[in-house]
Amino acid sequence: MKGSMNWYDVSRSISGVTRWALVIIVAATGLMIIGKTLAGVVNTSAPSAVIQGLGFLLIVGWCTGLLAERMGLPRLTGYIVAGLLVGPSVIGILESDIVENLGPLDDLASTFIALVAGGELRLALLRGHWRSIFAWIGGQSLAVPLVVIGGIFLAAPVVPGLPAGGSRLLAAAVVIAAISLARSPAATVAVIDESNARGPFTETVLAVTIAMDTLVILLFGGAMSFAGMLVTPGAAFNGGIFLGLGAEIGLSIVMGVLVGFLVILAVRVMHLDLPVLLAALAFLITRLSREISSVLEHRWDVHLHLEPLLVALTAGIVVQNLSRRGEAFTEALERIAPPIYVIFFGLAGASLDLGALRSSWILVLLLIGLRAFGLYFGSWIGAAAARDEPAWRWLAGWTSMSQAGVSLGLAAEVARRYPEWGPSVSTPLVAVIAVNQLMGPALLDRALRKSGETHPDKLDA
Amino acid sequence: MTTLLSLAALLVLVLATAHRQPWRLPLPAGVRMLLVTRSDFLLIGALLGPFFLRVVDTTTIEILRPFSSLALGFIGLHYGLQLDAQRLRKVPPFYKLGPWVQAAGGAVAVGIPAWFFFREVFGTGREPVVAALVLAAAAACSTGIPLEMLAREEKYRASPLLMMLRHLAEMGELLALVIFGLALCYRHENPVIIGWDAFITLQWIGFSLLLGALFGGVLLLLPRVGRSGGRMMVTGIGALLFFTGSASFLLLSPLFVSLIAGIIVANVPSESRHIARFATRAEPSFVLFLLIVAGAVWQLNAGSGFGIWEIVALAFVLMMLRLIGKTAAGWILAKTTHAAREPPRRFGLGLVAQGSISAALALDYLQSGSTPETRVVVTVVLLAVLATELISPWLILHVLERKPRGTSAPKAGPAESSS
Repeated sequence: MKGSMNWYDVSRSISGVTRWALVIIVAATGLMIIGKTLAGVVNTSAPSAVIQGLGFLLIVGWCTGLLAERMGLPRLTGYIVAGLLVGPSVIGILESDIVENLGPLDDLASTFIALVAGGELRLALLRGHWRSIFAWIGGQSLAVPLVVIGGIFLAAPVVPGLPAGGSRLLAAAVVIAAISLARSPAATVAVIDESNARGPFTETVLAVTIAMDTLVILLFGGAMSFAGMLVTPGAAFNGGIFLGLGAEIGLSIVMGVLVGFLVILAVRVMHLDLPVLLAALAFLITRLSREISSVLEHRWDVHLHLEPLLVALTAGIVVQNLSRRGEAFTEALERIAPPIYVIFFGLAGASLDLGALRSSWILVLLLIGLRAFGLYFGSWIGAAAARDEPAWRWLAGWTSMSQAGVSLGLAAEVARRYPEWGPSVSTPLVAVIAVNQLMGPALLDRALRKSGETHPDKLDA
Repeated sequence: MTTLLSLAALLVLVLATAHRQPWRLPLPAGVRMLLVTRSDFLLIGALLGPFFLRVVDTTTIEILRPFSSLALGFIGLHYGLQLDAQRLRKVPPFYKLGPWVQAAGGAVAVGIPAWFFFREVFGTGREPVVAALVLAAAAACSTGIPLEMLAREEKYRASPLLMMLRHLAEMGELLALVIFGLALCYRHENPVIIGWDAFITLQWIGFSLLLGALFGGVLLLLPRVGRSGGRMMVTGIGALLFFTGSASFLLLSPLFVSLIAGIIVANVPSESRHIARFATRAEPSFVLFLLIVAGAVWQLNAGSGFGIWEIVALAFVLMMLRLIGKTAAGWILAKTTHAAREPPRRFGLGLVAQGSISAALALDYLQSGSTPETRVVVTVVLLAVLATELISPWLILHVLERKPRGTSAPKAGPAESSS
């Protein structure tokens, strides 16, 4: 009776964790739908809907992450897919106002992940690999703009959706190239953390990702100024922009160092509970950076925006590398990280706009291909120039594909600054980022496994 | 900058005091009790809140709302997890009836006068009844922490009376949580099932029980996708947020729903230890957090329509009525008991301290909607928590120093086996 498998047989054929994860997802979704139906008969409380949505995202995101893990993908991909599926773009159980209301939590989570990224960066392990780091960064910084700008110019006559006119096209290509260099340190650190990867390749990947993400801020500033010069008659290249951005980065680093030393002091003198301290610290860094920027602007008319992610990242590096409790610090971070990853990447998935992908898919595919080729080619050249072992040369390119929040912010900035042609660039870029956000973690995970630096899951310890 | 400062202040407070050990501090017993039960955080929260120093503003309180819901869920779940039917079945008859009589004594003594009072002041309708029921629930609570503090002293370590009081306190809170859960169900004017307008409160009670049962069911499933501490932390917090959020979303009590879930989990021995480990690990920090938030949202007489002294007087009167109710219930129990060693007739005085569960009830009630009645209830309950904890050590000592009315050695009480 092979052909007549009933539901029971099907469920038995699925392994334990997969079966129960599916049951929990179905149960939570059913309850959410019942709750929404009942909401029609009572005066519901809006803040509670946000709490309920957050819990739903945590449960469904985590279980989808487990399913992704069973399929050989990183859990992170599962969190993003779960967010995407339940979010406003697809099923819509998590409505857009709930996703919007969870925004402050998203900021908090990204600061926390930056803290984790800093904590994961062990400078001692990078000794002997500085040449690789500089070479990878150099290779990518040269190859991506060349490939992206060249590719756009070659494809412009046949691919619809790109701005018309030589100078506008060049401006758009330069801006797209700068954004293509951006990647997602959050996704990188989450994949490293979840796959429990340790070793020189992992540390090099992390260092390159972090350095590139900082460098992109400068490059994007330059690209925007250059684009302005091209499309605005009489405008000149504004070199002062680098000074302003450099000051912001410098100030954020200084503040991060201060915060890092304060954490070391707090842990050493007051014997504080690290997980609680870290969660609160992420909150404080996020708010403190904004408050200081606001005070500078309103009291002294100084437009310096402290970057909370950079502050947290530096603080993490300081605590990990300049204190004796660096390992305890990382362990504490890793202990509270899983729910934060689920929330952050689940929300990222829920915020993805698939409409852009439908409207300009040819251009989106072109941009994804150009970026991937540029990054892979640049990394290969960089790794070859640094005389890294052959395996690294082939793997390096796959580690930098993911994109997330920063790239989305930069894309939105293009649309805001250049309303005439900006939206035609930012709309397909949003779709490119969405695809890279889904694919990137899986590619990084594969590269880390191939490097042989991954270990069994810490969560099971 | 206010929000930032308030958060920094909260952080420093929580961190600096999280690991204190006030058991042996050379302080008056009442003050030491406040530190042990951590009710001083109520005062600190109130001091930082919008009514006094305004360091914690309303925006911060709103930001922290998911965490206070989580705290309520943890408290309910933690309490429910202790209600294992197998253990409770072993309890002697006196111990089974005692907590209910004790809790009912306090609840009736406060609830009925409070209902008359609210009806006079705020008029008829559902809300005065709900407010009176919430006050009755809070009055039913008795915390066992002062008794635990005394049990650390050599002199009282093996006292059977102390063990009995601990059991009565522990179980009495169950009645409080049930009354509270039912009160919030009574609040609903629309039915769960559209078109069926009969037994509306019963429909909501049934729905609360169903939600709690589903929560319990989901909790029982969670270890199947990972039993380690790290995995349980993600799924457990997710489930707590989801179900406490769902309960608040439908204007039900997160405390009551989590309690039901806890009871269900406690009675499935194969899985309960994983969930209990998760709940026990996280609960203390959340109770601390809840007390600070409860203190911060406390605005004495603001929004209640009463003057400060009027509301303090009301709190004092209700506290006295509760004292009488508890003592009377104890007296009835002592008179009717056939235990080998009968307790002293005034042993109800040993159960006066209200504890953090009643503060949690007040906060839960306030979160479900702010009305003049909720404001009165919050102030009365929080004042009572502080006052009863200050006086409770002397009252307990007064009870313990009394000679028992029997001579034969008692059998070990249930608290002994549980602790």
